[in-house]
Amino acid sequence: MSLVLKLALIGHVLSGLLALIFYYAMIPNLIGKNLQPNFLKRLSLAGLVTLLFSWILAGYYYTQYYGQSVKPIIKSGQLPWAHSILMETKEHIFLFLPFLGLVLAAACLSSKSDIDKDETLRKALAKLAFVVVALGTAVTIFGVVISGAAK
Amino acid sequence: MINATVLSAIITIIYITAITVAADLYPPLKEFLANVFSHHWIGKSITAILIFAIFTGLFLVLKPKTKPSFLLNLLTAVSILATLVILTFFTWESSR
Repeated sequence: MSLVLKLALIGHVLSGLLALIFYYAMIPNLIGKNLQPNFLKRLSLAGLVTLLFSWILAGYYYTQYYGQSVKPIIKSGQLPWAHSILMETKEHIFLFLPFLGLVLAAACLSSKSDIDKDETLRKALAKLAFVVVALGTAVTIFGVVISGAAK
Repeated sequence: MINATVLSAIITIIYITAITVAADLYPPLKEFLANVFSHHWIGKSITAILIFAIFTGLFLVLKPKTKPSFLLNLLTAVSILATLVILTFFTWESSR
């Protein structure tokens, strides 16, 4: 594997994990009593940027290397389902995340948002942030199993 | 602004789920995406971005009056359901 591909692989994992930290940090801020709108704006923007970065790097690694070099090893190995179930699911639910991140950023950054007045809106945003964290965690665990299956 | 992005995200996630299942059940669709966009995953990504952008523009003009919290909860439910559909589909396909 070339250095660029290694950096893309490592970069997509690190930026994805950073995104999860940002979205996880949004949840207590949204459901707690001490709402900090500016902090939420920064977290939602940082989450979106790191998710997009992870998307681009993961896409580069997946389209340039995984299909030709990793997939055949997994499919002929002891855990072929690591590709046919986990990787297939991972690569597609991963596509949801940037759009969910865009929604969270739009809600936190919009000047017309009633985020500081509407508790129902904050709770709905917290649930969505939790879904991003849950899907991101699932995608991360799938990635660990897929890496293990390729060895 | 919020309603437009939430509604567009709901449509985009339904589209991603539908094209994922359809492209696996109908190989010519997967080949078409791969031929046009160099890889089926890039094809799904780019068309999803286009759908999101088009519907966001449309809903910004239409200005739907629905409560944002209701739409956000709907998006949460659609995201969970779409994930389960994709996981179930690939589990079923793997066991065929």
